Amino acid sequence: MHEPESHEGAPGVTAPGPESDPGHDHIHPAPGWFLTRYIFASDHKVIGIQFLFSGLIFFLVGGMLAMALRWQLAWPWKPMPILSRLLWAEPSLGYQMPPEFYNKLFTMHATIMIFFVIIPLLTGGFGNFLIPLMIGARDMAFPKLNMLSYWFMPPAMVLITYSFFVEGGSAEAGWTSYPPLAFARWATPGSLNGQTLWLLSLLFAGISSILGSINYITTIVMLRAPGMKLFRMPMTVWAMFITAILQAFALPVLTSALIMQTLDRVAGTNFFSPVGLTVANAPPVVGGGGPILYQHLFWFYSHPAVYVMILPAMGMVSDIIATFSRKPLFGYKPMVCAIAGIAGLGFIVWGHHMFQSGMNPALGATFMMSTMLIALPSAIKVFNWLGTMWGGRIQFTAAMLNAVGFVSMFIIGGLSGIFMAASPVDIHIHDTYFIVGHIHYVLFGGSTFAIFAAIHYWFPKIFGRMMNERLGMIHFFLTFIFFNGTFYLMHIVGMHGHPRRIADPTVYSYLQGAGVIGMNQFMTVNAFLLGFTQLIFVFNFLYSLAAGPKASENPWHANTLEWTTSSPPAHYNFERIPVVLHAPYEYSVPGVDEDFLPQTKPFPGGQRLEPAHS
Amino acid sequence: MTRSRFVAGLILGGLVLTSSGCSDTFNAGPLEYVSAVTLTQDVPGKTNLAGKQPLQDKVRAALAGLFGDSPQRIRVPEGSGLPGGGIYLASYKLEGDGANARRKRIYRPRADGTPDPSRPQAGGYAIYRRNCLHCHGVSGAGDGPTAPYLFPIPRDFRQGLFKFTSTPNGARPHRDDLRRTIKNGLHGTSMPAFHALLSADEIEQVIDYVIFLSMRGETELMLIEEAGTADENDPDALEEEVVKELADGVFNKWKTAQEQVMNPSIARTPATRESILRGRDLFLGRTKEKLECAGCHGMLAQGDGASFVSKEVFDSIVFGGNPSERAARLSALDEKTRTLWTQKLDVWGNPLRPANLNRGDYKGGRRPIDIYWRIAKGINGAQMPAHDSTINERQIWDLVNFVLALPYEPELLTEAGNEPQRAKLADTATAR
Amino acid sequence: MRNWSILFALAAIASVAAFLYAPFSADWWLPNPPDQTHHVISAFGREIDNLFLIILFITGAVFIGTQVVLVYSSYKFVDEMDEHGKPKRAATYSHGNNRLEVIWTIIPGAILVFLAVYQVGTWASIKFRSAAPRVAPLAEITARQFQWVIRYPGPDGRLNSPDDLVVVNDFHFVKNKQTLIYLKSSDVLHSFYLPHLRIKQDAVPGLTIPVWFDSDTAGSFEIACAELCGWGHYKMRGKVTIHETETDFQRWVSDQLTEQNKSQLTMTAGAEGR
Repeated sequence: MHEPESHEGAPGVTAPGPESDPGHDHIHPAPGWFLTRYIFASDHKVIGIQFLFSGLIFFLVGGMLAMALRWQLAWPWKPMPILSRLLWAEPSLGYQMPPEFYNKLFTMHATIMIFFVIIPLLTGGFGNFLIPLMIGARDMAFPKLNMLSYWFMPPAMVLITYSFFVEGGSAEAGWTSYPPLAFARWATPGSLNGQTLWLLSLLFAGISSILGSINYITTIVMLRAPGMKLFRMPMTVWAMFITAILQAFALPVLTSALIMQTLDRVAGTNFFSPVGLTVANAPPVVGGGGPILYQHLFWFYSHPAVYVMILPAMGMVSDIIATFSRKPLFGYKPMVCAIAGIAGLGFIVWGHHMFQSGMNPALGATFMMSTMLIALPSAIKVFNWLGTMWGGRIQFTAAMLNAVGFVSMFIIGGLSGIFMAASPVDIHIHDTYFIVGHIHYVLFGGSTFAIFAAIHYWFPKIFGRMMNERLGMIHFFLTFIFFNGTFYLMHIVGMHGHPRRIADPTVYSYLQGAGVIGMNQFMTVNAFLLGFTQLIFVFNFLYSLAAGPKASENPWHANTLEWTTSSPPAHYNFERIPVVLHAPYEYSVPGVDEDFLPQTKPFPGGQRLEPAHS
Repeated sequence: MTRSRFVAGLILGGLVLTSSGCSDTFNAGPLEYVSAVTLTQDVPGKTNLAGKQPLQDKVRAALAGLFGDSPQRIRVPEGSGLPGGGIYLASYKLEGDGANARRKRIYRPRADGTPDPSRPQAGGYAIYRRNCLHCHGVSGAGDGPTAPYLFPIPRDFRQGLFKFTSTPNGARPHRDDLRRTIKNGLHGTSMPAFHALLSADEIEQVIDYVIFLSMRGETELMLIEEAGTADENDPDALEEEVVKELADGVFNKWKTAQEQVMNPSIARTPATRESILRGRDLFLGRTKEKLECAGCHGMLAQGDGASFVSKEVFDSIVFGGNPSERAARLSALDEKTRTLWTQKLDVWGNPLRPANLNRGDYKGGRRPIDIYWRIAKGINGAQMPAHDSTINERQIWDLVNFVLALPYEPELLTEAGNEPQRAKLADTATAR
Repeated sequence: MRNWSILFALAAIASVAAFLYAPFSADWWLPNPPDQTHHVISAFGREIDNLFLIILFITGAVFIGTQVVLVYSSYKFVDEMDEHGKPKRAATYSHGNNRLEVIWTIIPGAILVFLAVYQVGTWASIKFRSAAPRVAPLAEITARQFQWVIRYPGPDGRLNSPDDLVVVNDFHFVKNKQTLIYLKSSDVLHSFYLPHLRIKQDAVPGLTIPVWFDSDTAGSFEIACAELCGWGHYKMRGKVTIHETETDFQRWVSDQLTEQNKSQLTMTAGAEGR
């Protein structure tokens, strides 16, 4: 760690720019007290690491829930390893999982993976760590707000974990929590108490994200280093910027929907209940609301949330692919426009989740059109990634492999989305395993591979040590194979009409064929192997954290600003605020000795370089 | 065959693992039956063996001797009357004794009665375990994991009583009654209709297993009752003949019930206006028989009669919070309400609510004969009494016609002809 | 390093192979009658399957195209060093190509718009209420936890009268006849899913939603519940019987009515105890 006083000769200090010398900004020393330095920290890097760790821990929890539910799908009602002895050993239960527990498994798997793993990892973890470093700022615009945004997460985590232990157990109305199942307390055991905790937990998580997004927007607008024009920002920053805008505008709607459902449950309001509704012989409610209203509100957020979970991944993958292809990003401005297009269209496509909901079918027709169109920017991005790789000098590091894995898998996830966008075809595949396959190709094949790529890529910067490349490659190799083994056949069983969220598919005679049962068992075996493969990653992560080789300032020979400062960066990030001279992806520039040209390093001959076209 | 005595070892039928290759015991411990509460605990007002270890052991041993010591090792006692000597309960049959015992797969019979090797039998136990256990529990005590969250609470089979039957009040059900319940479910409760989930012969196997659990449970209660009269250290307590006699008593109840189905001697009266109105008068107690239907079912037949606690109190106890805290909520009631509450429980000690006859949901079935049975012989274990001694069959049919018409004509109970009741109704309405 | 392209190639090949194999297997392909794997039994089903196939072909082509490029670039453009540790080849220094961007925006855009427009008609004929057949509803289906309560009009031909036939989880209709049902829910959300007919519609408490379909094949099929409805969601299976002729159907209805109106045991029916 650098002493804050030593200005001279520190690595990463760039030549001052011609027009100004902002490097004399006052530098705050790192807090000396352990608690303010590492726990209640306002340093964006520490907060990013906090998000990273909590996200990874919950990743393991969510993964184990997934394995348990896969077990049930492959061998319905067979006693489960460990869980059966742990939970159902009482004589009256006879080691048999009750069906509502299966509902809890998929509800909590999805909730945890979406709200406690992917969103916190991408926006909370990498967003926090990278944004100030990549735009050349010393910290976020509102460091205290940033701290608050993290500290809204632990209550959410405690509540969601605690919900497993209340009477009736955790929520089991699906991660979508559609009323009336979710608010009618006697509709299913998890709706008795668990659902209230689920709602409160998500409220906390949502507020955390709102606070974060306000901070990101402000930071990116206000704190860019001199010369860091908007169109000189790395794709990661662009993606985080637009993601933050998406969250800032969509999350309040989810928050209000969650509050309305909470009120329906605890205060006797009737936002989502029809007149005189009674469920499971419980006393009738007054009613006067509509269950479909909740779906509109929920998806108005949760469809953009899908982009919240994929846009940052796309941004980071763009950076990684450009770096390891040693080639400028193909079509930088079209890429930015595509992200903006996804975000814009993302607000007018939510109805495609509701084609079969009983919403006016005429509305469905318009949502089909907008949903089809949103495939376009995604396609443009894929083409541009391929364009970036084309003619490059591709270096297959673990990070690059995961990034290429992302592109390869995102193609599947994107294309399968078109089936659902087509509302007539959606009639058949809606709420089947086809959609489960699709979402996992986007969120595991997409976001999670991007997270692995980003961890391998930025680990040296975050922790100052290198991860083991060989282990990283083995991990990628096995993950890629078992991931496909787990999720690809979901499209096939889904196409065959296998509904999602059913505890026992063999109830239906059309799902009793050897093919469907065989596929379910094959997927489960792969899911378990996929789960165990992650132990390699855990080992690599922890081992490298403790004993990895020390990382240099710029181990990948990348161009963006975070690589111009030390690894890990000092508390103040940059000795002097860097001055940005050109676009972020100037690799293999003719006439430059090295195959990279950091954003702070002048182009030979003093000329400024911009993307070759507008 | 039918007289043979055998022990059947069980493996979950139909769920043979292909790739994991592990048996149940790999992930689960041995299964055991839940004993009756009175075997080990002091229950006021009931014979119990609390603290009498030697007698408890005797009861356990006697039960194991009769029905097998674990749900996975079923023993079918002689004279149980179960079809095929209980062959439909299991998927394997043990032949020989002790170390020589060999497991033999049981196959479903062909049309000519010979076993068909292509159709292994799952057996009642396996089907029950898969479809019924999570509500009714391993021992049929209605104590599965889902049970606490349901109302009405799933049936505890262990007293031999089933609510919706065609046999006289208090008798064991006819096999058809159980079959109807399993096939069609109980409307307005959480009991699903299994005819779309199980094949006809799977349903027969489940019926066998339910009867088996019920016989086992009732025998256990009988044994406790008998042992309760014996001295704690009496070596002769519950000797073999006594046990056999008790068990036979239980089996005979089932056997005699099969002959006791109540068949109306006259067919249903056509549902004419007159008949319906006569039924209404019966319902409202305006006839000389002075039936008290409205006292429980309410003046508007909404299930809110004055003999029961009010709907608000009922809802606050049953649905007002966690199921585990019902006793606490109950103790918060005033003395009078609490007494009324305890008087209006069913024999299983569970809360009851009279049916709302306006909804058109008939738990025991919507056929005229089903409703005839409800009225004529009452509902076992519940507060609905038998009426066949009070009113004649024709009157029962009038009531049936009224009950079936009410959901479509709620004005039957509100219309002008009811002036004397009007005032009363207004009172109830304001009280609500 | 080049070997990594094999991994990506294998994933792509396996993906395509799965869909190539699917039509030859009874339970990898779309749900159809067990003995007629390629016979979709409803008119809407045929339309939906055709649209599915069109999308499958288009996305399949795009998938193969992009994966070929991806695998080729990860094979061809891998970084290689010469004996001095210098790269054998420099990367192309290019920031993109505007013409390419325009091409790969307009062509997929046109295809997507075409797909959307092409599908609207089918969507309208299946779901728009104006397209509902002008026939009397065959039945009213009310979903509740956890069963389908099916109410057929009785002899008076009107729904919700005392002579209605009420059955649970047992849906019957007639082959080659436009069938209209009213879908309701009495508690939570459910979804009425006829996989073999490619029909799916959520049942929403408080709404009555008309659903219509036909079938060209008689036989036994099933209703699935496709919207999570609580602990017994998976138990919500209903049987579907499609009768050959109206007479068969009427015979079934009258049998059921006889049973429903039963007021005495007879010797034969008593033993049946239905």
